[in-house]
Amino acid sequence: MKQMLNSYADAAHTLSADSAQLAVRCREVSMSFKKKNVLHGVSFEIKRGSIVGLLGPNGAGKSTLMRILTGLMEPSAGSVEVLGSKPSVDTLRDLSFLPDRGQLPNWLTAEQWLGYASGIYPDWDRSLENQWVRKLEVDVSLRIATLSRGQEARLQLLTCLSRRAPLVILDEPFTGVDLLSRENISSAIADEAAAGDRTFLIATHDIREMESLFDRILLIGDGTIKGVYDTEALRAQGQSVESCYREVFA
Amino acid sequence: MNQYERSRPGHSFDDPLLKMEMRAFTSYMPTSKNSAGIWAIGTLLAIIVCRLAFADRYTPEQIYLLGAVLLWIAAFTITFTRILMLPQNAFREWWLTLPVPRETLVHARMLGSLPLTGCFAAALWLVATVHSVLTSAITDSPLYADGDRIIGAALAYAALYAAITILITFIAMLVMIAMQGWRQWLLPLFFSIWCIPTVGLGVLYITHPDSPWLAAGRVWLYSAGAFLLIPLVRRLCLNLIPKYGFDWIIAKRSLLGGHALRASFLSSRTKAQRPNARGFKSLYALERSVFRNISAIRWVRMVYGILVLGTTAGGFITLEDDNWVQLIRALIVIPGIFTVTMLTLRFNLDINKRRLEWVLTFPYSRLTVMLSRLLAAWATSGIWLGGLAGGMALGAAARYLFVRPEHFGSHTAVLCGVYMIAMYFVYIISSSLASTLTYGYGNRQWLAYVSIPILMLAYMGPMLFNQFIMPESLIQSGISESRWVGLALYAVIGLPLSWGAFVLGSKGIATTLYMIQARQRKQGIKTFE
Repeated sequence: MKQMLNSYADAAHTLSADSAQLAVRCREVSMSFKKKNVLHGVSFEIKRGSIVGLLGPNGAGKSTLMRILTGLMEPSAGSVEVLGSKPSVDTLRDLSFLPDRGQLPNWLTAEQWLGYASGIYPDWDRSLENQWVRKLEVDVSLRIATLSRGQEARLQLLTCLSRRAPLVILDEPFTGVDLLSRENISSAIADEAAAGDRTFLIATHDIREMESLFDRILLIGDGTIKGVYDTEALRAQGQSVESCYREVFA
Repeated sequence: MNQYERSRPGHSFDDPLLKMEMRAFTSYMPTSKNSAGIWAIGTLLAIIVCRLAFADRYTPEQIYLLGAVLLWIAAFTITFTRILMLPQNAFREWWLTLPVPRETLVHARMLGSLPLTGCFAAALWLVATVHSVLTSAITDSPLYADGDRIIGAALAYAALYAAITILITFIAMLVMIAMQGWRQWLLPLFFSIWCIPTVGLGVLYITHPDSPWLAAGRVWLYSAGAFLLIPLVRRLCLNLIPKYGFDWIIAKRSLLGGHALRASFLSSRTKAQRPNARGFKSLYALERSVFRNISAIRWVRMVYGILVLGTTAGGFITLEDDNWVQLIRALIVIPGIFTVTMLTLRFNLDINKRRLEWVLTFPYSRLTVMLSRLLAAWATSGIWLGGLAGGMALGAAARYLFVRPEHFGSHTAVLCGVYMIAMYFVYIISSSLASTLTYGYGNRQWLAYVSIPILMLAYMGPMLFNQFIMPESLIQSGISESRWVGLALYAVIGLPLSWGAFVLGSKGIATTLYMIQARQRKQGIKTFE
């Protein structure tokens, strides 16, 4: 079984030459903190318009990788291209990022925060915001300090999704979100991606709910890419994302 | 029955609960090569500053007393800040539901910060002692001629420092009972206890070198009195805090938030207007909203109102004989300290509250983001100082209209006032710009050694200014040409240097994430994946 998985992985892992079609390209990216390797030799590509899952156990290096893609951190070695450029403030204009367990300014109401966010992000779409407020059932008149964990997670997510950014990077978007909202979110992401002009990179542990959504999955463990799989190819072989994950990490 | 119930509320040093409480402060203590280096450099710098600033003008006892004042403020602040953070602490519910009596929880917390405060006390004592020995060795000052006096003071003040460390930490713990209900009326009492020693800062000016109040014999008595009080305050803490000091934590009531999560607040819908600024203006408005929120807190408004009334009275009283310049001199210290403190607090809160990643992924350069923050802090300082100055002007106008003094507003006094305001203006701008340097040393250790002394200097600025650059005698002597030249040089050289530090700090601000990540990995805390 491992051999079969490896053959899918090799096919999907082959680096493409056409960078215009790519939203993300990482080549031999390594990262170390105080002599400890967090990432080493990470290479992969993400095509524009696709939904890619970044999956791996705790401590695998997912958040570090996402921070590198957003330009928050610079890799110790290797090269990264996001939408054809090195991650910087310029790429942040076209990239919507949801940090893992981040918090919003809790002295504001949700409405006030969205007001500030709409001014701060140049690609903010008010109609998208209204649509997401309805879909995610966020009460914008409430103070953020009084929101439950799930409500705040939904508010953070709607902040990311109310932008027209061509690349959306979500780090654990479902933490604290209830089942029905998770379904709402995943179906909404599917709708968003259907137009083909937005790319999603989602790190999550909720594999089952997101399984049907992913075009590809990147499996990362111990700071290295364990495999890049085309989900259609997996399904064609009677494999699920979950079983593939178990196979690689078990 | 668990081990805590068997032996409550005593703790041995291998007690896991006590170890956990102490662990919260370990990273600030000299426990690693790097942190020990920072402590050593800080202590050395303090010795140099002490030597340059005080030389042999003050007695060893006066220097020790200054250390005691700083220790008092630090011991209270460390404990008080930790208490203030309790409702927001993510570990809060775990802590509250640990299977031990609350008395034990309180006791462990009371002891938890003592090692850090103890290190601080030891460093202060070392600074004062080295200063005394050094001054005795290299000068012929009669104040430092008596070796027995120096040894006596060193021993007596060591005991006093130990007593202050424990007593003030325990008293600060008692704040927990005053966070809810009618007991909030006790808060001014605690604020007074916190601030009382600042009166002691004037000790260098008012005490006579041979004052018996500061002599070793009396200090032994103070220490004995404090040590006698310690068991009493400890008992008060253990009896009162478990009964009255936990409800506000459970209700997530925050003193800084100003609103409890009461049912009324939870269900309240605010009709606050949606902001509609764009671009940098929106960024700035977001930063300003923090201070607007603080200004809206009832007790902050009350304290500010009292201060405005105070400056109004001050303006009325000091109009005569140019005394108003002294009032300006005192008032202007407030924004001097406030601006850097607020910026440091905001940054630390952003890290603790995990807002830093949101802020750093705004599509603006880090310089722009930090500039919006600085502008918001400056604007707030200006507005708050403006209110105080307005109060002062109102008082002065009332005096002028109703009880006009014979003499006021000499040319020298006006020039002196302008000089002080200009000096502080440059200082506030440069110190807040330079303090940004401390944010950028995440993976550049060398920068820590440069930036931490700069930050310390920024905090000590007002004291050094009032001591050397703007002494009280300035109103009589007037502002010489060389002072104006000095101010101009400070602006011309200091501001561009501070801007350089600001650029360096802002550009490296994301390196804080490296530092946190490295530290958490070292500590085995899984926070980032």
